[in-house]
Amino acid sequence: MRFVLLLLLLLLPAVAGADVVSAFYGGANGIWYDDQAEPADFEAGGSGSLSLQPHISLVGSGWYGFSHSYFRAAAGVRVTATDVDDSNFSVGIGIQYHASTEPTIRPEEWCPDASIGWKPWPTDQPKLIVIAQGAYGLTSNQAQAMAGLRYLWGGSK
Amino acid sequence: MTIIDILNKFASAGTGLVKFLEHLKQEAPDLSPLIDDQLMKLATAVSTENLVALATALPAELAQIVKGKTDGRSHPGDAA
Repeated sequence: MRFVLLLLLLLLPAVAGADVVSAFYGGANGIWYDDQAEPADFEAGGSGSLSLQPHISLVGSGWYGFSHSYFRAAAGVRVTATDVDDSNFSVGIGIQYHASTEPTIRPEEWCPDASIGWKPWPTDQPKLIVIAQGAYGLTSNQAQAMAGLRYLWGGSK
Repeated sequence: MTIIDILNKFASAGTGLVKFLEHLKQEAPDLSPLIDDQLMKLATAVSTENLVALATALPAELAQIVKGKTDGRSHPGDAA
């Protein structure tokens, strides 16, 4: 928690800056745990991001899981590991804190993650993004994978 | 190290994604060229060049953020 507060304090001046690129998405996911073949749940919700520097972004999201009736949220930092000027495909590595209304299903913990975003039709459907993410819970030692679609609702630039 | 290798560190997410895209290709052959292009990207290494650039850039970018200076980009990966 102290780390998060410190991070937020450090980032406040940046969030007030003019060259922050923000984006807000609606979307849906399938989610898998520990190499299961079938998805453990399907989720709908939204995500958002603030890109502060070419490689560094703040990210957050909130989701409802339909099969197990939970709400969950995650927020953290992501570093883009691929070409920062490619707006159609990128891979990010980061860490997020996950919180949930059902901690037995979705533990509350820090999770390092790796994420892919891809615009399959950047000309015809520039707002549609295919995503995939793998994450690992540092407390639960539970791995999870997620694949889904996002639709850009708004943001700056 | 490829992008798939990185994702496989977490619940075999990379292999799962490849299987999903292969399945999608069978179900919707019209999407084959698009999916093949994506599969090729996934098999591409996160190049040493990019990783070195990243390691070099991060301290400077953090310093800029602390100074209140921003220079954001649009990353589809941030939508996840």
